[in-house]
Amino acid sequence: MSGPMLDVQNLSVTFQSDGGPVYAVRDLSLRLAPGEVIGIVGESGSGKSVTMMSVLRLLDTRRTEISATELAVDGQSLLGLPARALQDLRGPVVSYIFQDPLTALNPLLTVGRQLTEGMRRHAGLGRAEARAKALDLLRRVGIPAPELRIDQLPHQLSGGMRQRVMIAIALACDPKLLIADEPTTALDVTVQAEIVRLVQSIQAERGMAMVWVTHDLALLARLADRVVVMYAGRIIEDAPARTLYSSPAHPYTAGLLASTSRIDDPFTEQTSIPGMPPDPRRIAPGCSFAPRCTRALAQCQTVVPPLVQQPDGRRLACFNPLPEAHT
Amino acid sequence: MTAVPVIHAKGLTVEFGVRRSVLTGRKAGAVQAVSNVDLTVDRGETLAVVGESGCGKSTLGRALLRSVPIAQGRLEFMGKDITELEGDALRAARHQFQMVFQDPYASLNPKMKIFETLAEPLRVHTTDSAATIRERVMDMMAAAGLAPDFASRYPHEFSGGQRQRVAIARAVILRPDFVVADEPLSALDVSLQLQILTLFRQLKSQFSLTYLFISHDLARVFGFADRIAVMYLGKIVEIGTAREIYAAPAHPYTRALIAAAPSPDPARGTERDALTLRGELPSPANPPKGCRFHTRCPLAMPVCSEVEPQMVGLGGRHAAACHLVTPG
Ligand SMILES: Nc1ncnc2c1ncn2[C@@H]1O[C@H](COP(=O)(O)OP(=O)(O)OP(=O)(O)O)[C@@H](O)[C@H]1O
Ligand SMILES: Nc1ncnc2c1ncn2[C@@H]1O[C@H](COP(=O)(O)OP(=O)(O)OP(=O)(O)O)[C@@H](O)[C@H]1O
Ligand code: SF4
Ligand SMILES: [Mg+2]
Ligand SMILES: [Mg+2]
Repeated sequence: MSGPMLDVQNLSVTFQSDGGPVYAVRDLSLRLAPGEVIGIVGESGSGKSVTMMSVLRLLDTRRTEISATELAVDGQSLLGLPARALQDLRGPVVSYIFQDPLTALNPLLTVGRQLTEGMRRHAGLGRAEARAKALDLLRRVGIPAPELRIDQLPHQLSGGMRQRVMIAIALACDPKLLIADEPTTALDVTVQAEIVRLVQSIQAERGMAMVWVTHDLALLARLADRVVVMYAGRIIEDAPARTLYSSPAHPYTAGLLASTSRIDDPFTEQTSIPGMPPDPRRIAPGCSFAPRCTRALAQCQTVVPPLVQQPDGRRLACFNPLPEAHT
Repeated sequence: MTAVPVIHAKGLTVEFGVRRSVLTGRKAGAVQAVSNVDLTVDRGETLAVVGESGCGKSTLGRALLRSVPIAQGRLEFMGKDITELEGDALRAARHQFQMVFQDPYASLNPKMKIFETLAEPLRVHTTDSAATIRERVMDMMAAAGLAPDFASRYPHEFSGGQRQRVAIARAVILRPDFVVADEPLSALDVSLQLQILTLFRQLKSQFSLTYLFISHDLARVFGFADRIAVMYLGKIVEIGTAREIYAAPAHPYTRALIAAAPSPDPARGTERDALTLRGELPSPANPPKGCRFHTRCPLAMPVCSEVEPQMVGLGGRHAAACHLVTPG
């Protein structure tokens, strides 16, 4: 039996800001099996991007404190790995699709150049071979007239096409793990649906593991095997998708699900979560969700609920979870 | 006798980037952001406008408030023709219509305390005394769910949701007859979106407001709007009550929008995939001939690339522009 594709243990990330330390990620542990697709969901500022970026050491470390007892991809520990060796993993082992394609693409290099760079370095392909493969990939991600697009610069493409190019680049070296950080948030639902379907079919065909980061629970419903919910820098619930959508156990998960817009049932009145997410610079004792939680007990105000493995396969951090829904 | 609608637009057209060729005098390079739109907004209703990015939603909203030039067509506000209104008369009419924007940060003056932000429109457009203004501002803050001590603070001290509350309070404080809200939820997290929708609802019943509510989140507006207008490349392709459109979407584009909206239910069928659109919105500078949707329509027929379909009534308040639609 093979080990996890991604193994993160006890990750904490703190930024030094002018307003004091920002506790962005707190004691986060997460494992991903080979070929598994997980979704990481949470509201703005909950620490989704910082978690994923610290795995690949993509954060600017000058005013950042990162600690972890393990950070490993495909059995290889990244802790203390020299930058060069880390560089060798990016592409063939793990690839990243960023939240904002414009900042992630090099504005001065053609689409083709950016696509073939990794293939030539990692797989040692020749120029013509790499170009042929690049054209193939562009076609595969649904870019019309790839022979024309391959020699264009990023600004000559629409937002949807740039995001497709990002996906093609991420897939160029056949990674075993793909991390996609809100790859469709800026796009129309129509384009989003097409890109999700595309990534899904490529994932299934190659059996690659995938982490899909989003703030939209609805998007993950058909995409993820497992959904991890973050709140204020912590994982508060982690469950198989079917379990999570049919019987959320954490009051925040339930609240998030209840406020997600429902195209399948749009006329039923929805209830919102009262209040606002906490300021990551002012971390109160106890459960971070307690000030907004209708189920909070006295101990929730003072003790941080630990993330505990449950008999039904989920992990949960709550002292007073919702009772199991029997449907 | 039926009540006079708040907005009545006929053949409304807005063009950008129009240049005249020196040689031929013909118009060149124009984008018809809004093209020959007929639209009525009744007093007290919420009309949602949905469609993909670039289809002309914001431009339509601005045109109805007379804040972009109208190239063709006619616009009535409360039964009065305002198509040609200019100068002082337009400025005087302006306080009767207001706009709320997507980005609450950009729409608030960062150097103004919340009290000043809310008091300013009253100072400009009313003769209220300082005491009355103070009272109206504090009442409005309470109605918008803002604590009284926020009055002396600046926008940067607030979260996105609170700033949106301030922006809405400012838009509503003059009791306008018509409010255009342009994607007021899309910068907010889901848990705050519902709070802000609730605020829109409360203010509407408290001050008998009429809304044009622009959104790309179709699922969200079904439960909120009375009627929905679906736009594609500058045209309204379907309009009807939320229930009419949900129960029987007539235009293939509307059906595709509904099919593309994700639902938080892993078991929800895959049959929707058949309706998924291919490709992206064509350039509005060069819209397809015939039906503007025919290049992406899964049901397009030969006639669709030749003849532009007209709006056909489907019974009730429901209408759609598609060659496959037959009058109901
Ligand atoms: N370089 C930085 N310096 C200081 N604070 C930072 C930095 N990067 C992120 N943060 C803070 O860390 C927290 C977590 O940020 P992160 O980007 O991971 O959130 P997210 O869940 O990805 O949110 P979003 O949905 O908005 O992308 C936030 O409070 C953010 O402001
Ligand atoms: N001031 C302007 N000058 C030139 N073109 C413009 C201007 N404003 C809008 N347009 C163009 O008009 C068309 C409609 O734009 P509009 O902003 O109304 O779309 P929208 O439906 O509101 O899109 P979004 O969902 O992205 O806000 C687009 O092609 C846009 O590029
Ligand atoms: S008119 Fe034709 S092309 Fe247009 S939407 Fe209807 S079927 Fe499709
Ligand atoms: Mg992020
Ligand atoms: Mg707009």
